[in-house]
Amino acid sequence: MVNILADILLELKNLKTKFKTYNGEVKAVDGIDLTVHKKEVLGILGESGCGKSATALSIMRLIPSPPGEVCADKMELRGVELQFLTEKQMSKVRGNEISMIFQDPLSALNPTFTVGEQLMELLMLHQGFDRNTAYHKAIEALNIVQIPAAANRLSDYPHQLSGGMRQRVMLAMACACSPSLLLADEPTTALDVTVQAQILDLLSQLQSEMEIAIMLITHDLGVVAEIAQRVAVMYAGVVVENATVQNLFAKPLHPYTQGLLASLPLLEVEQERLNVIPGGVPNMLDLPSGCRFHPRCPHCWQICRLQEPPLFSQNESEVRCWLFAQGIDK
Amino acid sequence: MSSLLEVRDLKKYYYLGKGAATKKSGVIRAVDGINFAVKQCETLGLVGESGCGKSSVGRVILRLLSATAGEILYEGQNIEQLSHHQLLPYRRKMQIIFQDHAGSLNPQLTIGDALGEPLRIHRLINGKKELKAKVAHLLELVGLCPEQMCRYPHELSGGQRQRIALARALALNPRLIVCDEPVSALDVSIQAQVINLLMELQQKCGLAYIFIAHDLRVVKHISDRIAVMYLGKIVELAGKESLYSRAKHPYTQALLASIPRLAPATQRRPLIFSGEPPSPLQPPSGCRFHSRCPYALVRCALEEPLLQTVDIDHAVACHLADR
Repeated sequence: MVNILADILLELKNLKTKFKTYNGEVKAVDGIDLTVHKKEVLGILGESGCGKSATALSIMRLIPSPPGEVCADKMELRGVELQFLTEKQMSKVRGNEISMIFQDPLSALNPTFTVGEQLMELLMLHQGFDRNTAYHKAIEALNIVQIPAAANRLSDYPHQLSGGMRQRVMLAMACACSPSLLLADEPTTALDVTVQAQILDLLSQLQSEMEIAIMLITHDLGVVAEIAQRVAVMYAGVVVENATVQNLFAKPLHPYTQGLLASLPLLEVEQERLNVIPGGVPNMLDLPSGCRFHPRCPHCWQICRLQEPPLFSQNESEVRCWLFAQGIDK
Repeated sequence: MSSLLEVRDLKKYYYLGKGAATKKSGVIRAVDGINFAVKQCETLGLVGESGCGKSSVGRVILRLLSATAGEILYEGQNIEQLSHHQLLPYRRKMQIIFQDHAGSLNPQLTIGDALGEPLRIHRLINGKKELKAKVAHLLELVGLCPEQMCRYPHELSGGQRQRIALARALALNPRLIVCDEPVSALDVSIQAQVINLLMELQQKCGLAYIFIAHDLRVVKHISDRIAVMYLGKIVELAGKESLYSRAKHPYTQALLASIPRLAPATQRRPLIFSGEPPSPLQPPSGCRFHSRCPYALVRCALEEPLLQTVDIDHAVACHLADR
């Protein structure tokens, strides 16, 4: 769909994020390659601790160092290498070019300032508006995220708003400076299904109307199916499958993706038991040898225990699994 | 089959004080007159948006919170009025597991101590040997190895901790377990393991569950009957097949429509309603859902609909249901 080189917005090559802990070094992200194209929604799917949030924070350069350490062969936003920017230049990129929303809007908003003050501060700081213009722009921003009676909401404190409203305010703040990329880290996980549906609708509306590319981080397959166009599935710090959303749901390739899809209860069919991926997520301090998924994999062969598979191309997808290697004696 | 637990006109109000921090004073009608029954070995699902009172129901049934009004009948015996001492035998019959698996285990107790505690309190064991054997049996029951006994909660993963919470609930051979969002804090691949375990144990130990959750997929899988709550009221109560295929209440229909589908959408589905639940401090008059209902009539704002049986094992509280 969007595969022209000029359309690439963000390109990551071999991103590694490590944390030094008392028990050893944790490679939260262990060499991932990602590209986000303009105006697309890329879903990052994975369980807790697989490195999805660390990826987003690394892009924003918000990983505290020490104990964290981020390195990449390439981390380019529109051809600008983010790693070489000074802190001052980077703070211009945050908000103006890339912005981020989090799972818990209550802790992301300052409880001691009104919504209006927080929105206006951001507009005055990033766009250099005076107070008056910022006020009107703030109302505009709240209107875009469909908050009713926006002018009255500006004087509310975050605790006076409901969860869905807070997430809308976060979205308004994130989109106020019309960034080209929005990193949404589990934006609907803390919300009710009904409100989740509204926020997802709003996100896809923002994406099409304001032409924002969205990197949507989630553990929820349903959310991915709803709005993403391409999906990267992560497991224990690496991307195990890269596919379009249609391919991912129609014919998942990696055994982990297959297991995840099969373990969800279906609405349409009556099931006796749910399919299960045996075992648990590996300890990041003590990763299995070879393929990280092999202790839980139903198709595990000799080579899986010994050597980590590279990403193999399979039709339009990419998959990190020896099953798709050609001419290898398994 | 006779019902194991019956709830009649149960109410739980929270009174807000007039203090320095809270200027408002008022009453939150978290649970406002609900009736339902749970049969033996049955799973009753309880769903609704946050703040609809589903967790309050679970806690009031166990008398962790006292009810404002109404009756809770366990095998015909009203346990609402019993004293603390009289209640003890019933405590053994009804247990609860919570969403927050880390918070529900004492970090200073080993798994063995945590599982042994209820057995000691209820004097069900004689001597250390028997205690150890019983704890080992409980761990095996939930699919863990008995060696985990001397570990501490922080050494275990989330799924394992939820298994321990379940083992502790099972220690007293209960008949009913209230499961308050037991899998929503777990990873997808672990959720399925715990759900399978819950269903296996139901068969093995003859348990009834009240399964409180907001994930409608999970609720459908595990429940026999489902009650949908909205602002303290049950708006629809039906067998799961009936509920998922022929939902009568507009709220249930909207809830079902907002479940994300597992196939990429070819077109965006219509949004059935907008807005969020009104404050339980001032619930709308008449039918509480009328302020968000796309089919609301004048009558809905004036008159409160009662929960009426419209079909076999299908009751709904809506003025439009008989159309």
